[in-house]
Amino acid sequence: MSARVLVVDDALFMRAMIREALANSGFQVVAEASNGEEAVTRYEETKPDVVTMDITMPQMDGVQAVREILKRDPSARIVMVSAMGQQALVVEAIQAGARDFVVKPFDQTRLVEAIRRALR
Amino acid sequence: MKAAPLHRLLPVFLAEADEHLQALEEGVLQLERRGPNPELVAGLFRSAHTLKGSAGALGFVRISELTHAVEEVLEALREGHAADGLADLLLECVDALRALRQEVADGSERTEVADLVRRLRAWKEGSGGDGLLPADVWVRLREDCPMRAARALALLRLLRGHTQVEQVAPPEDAIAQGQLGLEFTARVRAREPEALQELLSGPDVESVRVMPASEARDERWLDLGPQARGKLPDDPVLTRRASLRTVRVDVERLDRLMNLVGELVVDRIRFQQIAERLRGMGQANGIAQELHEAATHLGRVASDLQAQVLKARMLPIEHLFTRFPRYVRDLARRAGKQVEVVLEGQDTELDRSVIEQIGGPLMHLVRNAVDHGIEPPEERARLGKPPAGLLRLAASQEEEGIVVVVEDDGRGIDTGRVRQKAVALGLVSADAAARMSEEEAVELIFHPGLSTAAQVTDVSGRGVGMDAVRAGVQALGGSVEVETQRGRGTRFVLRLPLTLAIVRALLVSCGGERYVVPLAAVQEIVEVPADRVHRVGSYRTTVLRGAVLPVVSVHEAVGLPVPESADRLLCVVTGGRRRVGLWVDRVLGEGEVVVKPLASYLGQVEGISGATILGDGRVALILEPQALVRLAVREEELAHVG
Repeated sequence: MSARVLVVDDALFMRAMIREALANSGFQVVAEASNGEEAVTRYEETKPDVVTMDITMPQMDGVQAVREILKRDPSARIVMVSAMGQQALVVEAIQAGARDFVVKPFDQTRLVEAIRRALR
Repeated sequence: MKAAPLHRLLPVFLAEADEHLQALEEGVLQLERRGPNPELVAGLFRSAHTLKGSAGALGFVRISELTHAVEEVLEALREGHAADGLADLLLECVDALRALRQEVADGSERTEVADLVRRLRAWKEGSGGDGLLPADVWVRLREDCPMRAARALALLRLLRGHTQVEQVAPPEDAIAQGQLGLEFTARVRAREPEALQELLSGPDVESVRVMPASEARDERWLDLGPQARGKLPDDPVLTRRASLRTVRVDVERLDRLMNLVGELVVDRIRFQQIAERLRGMGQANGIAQELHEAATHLGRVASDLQAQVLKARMLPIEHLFTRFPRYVRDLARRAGKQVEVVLEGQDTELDRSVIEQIGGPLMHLVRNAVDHGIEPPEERARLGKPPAGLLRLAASQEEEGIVVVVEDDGRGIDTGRVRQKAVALGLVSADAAARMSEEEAVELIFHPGLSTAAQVTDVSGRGVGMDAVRAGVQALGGSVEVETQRGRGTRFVLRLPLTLAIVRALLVSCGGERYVVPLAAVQEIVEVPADRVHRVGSYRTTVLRGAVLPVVSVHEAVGLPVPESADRLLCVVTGGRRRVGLWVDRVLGEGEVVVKPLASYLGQVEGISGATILGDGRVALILEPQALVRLAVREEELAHVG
């Protein structure tokens, strides 16, 4: 069965791009969220196998969302999607329990590999 | 009751030891293939135990110490500990015990066992009850890896998902604060350390190396493979754990250092020459004397420095030899033969670049010995030989170089068939083959035509690739000799230089240019009247003490006009078993030269192996005797055809 993914990003364009990349590689996008709060809610609703998480978002940022999700499900697998120059936040997210990360702009294979690694 | 004298019990012990070692070895191979079962482990234990008992009674301390440690490990195995990674270690123990058995037969125990004992204990402790094996993981990120710290932490996170991470360097806090170069290491305990390599590989990762912790300290992972070269990690975990008195040094750094020392040697020679010249001018003699003394002192310091750097580049040949028992076992099993490998002189040290390059040729010789030399057990039994053939690999230091012997007690080389094959393949005429001495006939195995012809693999004796072996060894400035006796065996003797960076050489001049001839190849220098050199086309010969000696003109080889009138000054050089007289104008002296490769835009120039800078700053080309001998052989063939 293909892995189920929750895509979190405040930019519609990024969500569309990630959705397409994942669809091409046989993943199933089960939900999308455009901010941290929504991400936590969607996570609880859909219980996805893996989450792609933007960092800079309104309401609740990606790092905080990682903490919230892991508080509810310590086995959650989260891949951070970061802009360049956000290393400190990525480090924080990983210390909080995120599994992997990709740096924007990324090519599709990078993202897919990161998700596969997170799923191992 | 009075104890029987030692010398009467020794043969009994040796025979028994052989049996038990054989049993141990076979058992370990089974262990490796099928995993432990109680009966197998009990059998192994009995062999080790018996050996320990008799060795102890005879006072063979090392054998009993090592067998005791083996026993302990087997006991752990019997109690259900995982056998991962144990087979290799036990095979090494068997090899060490074999060596010791041979040594006590010859006199006294020499092979060191402390390291093996330590590693056996480490294995026992490391494997614990949980089946987890300690390993050191070294990761190097790519230069272009974005967010290194985040990547390193993500990889460690991944590692944590699959292993117990015990120690990380640099520490994770430091990594999180960005204190990270391109590399980090982790000490882990993992069920399958081998699998970590693949787990951690990814687009941002340049390379991953996983080493069993029990081996990490003995620098085995320095490895001799090309990927190890120039990529030694700065490894805080290992460095801390290893003795504080050792540091790891990048091999490239050693090479650079060697190069610099080489320059220093050149300068030293130059100073000495200036001092000589000053003295020759007879003026300012006080200063000349002082300069001479200073130059002499500089010379001593440079020599010491050179010796120390050379030493730093040395590795015991053990690094190479330890592969062979295993290799031979596999080969022998495949060929349905029994072969006992004896290794001698494993602590003989030589330059790592020589070790790197000699592996291939040795492998060839060993494979040939097993495939073609040593007979199947039934045949050996018929011939009254012990069923297991003996393959001996021995290294020793002699004068300026290292001698490595590869010897078997197999059927020897059938020179009759070698001759036939050579004639059949059109390599020599039937006439020439018949005229050849036995020694010359044996030499045919090195002929490229013969040794690469696939259909001669069945020639009793040697098969494929002997020319490659010789070429490989000669490229190192060494030589290969073969001695063989029908039905008794074959012995290859490889003579290797200690190092490739500096050679002792003869400086000669030819047509106003200077050339350098490696001294190792020079047998003698003789003067021959011009009318005693005979000529067919461009093929020249003379007769030296009753034997025909081909003459190669250096002038001609490098494209200079050949002087006709003067007497011929010949440097007699050897390349393989062949000798040629190298015709030069003058011999200027001898000394050490630092070998520099020719610039790549010059490509490979036949007959020239490199260049060197002389004391006066002039460049001299280094002649390659083997290539010049080949040249002579070609011309000889042409002359015979013509």
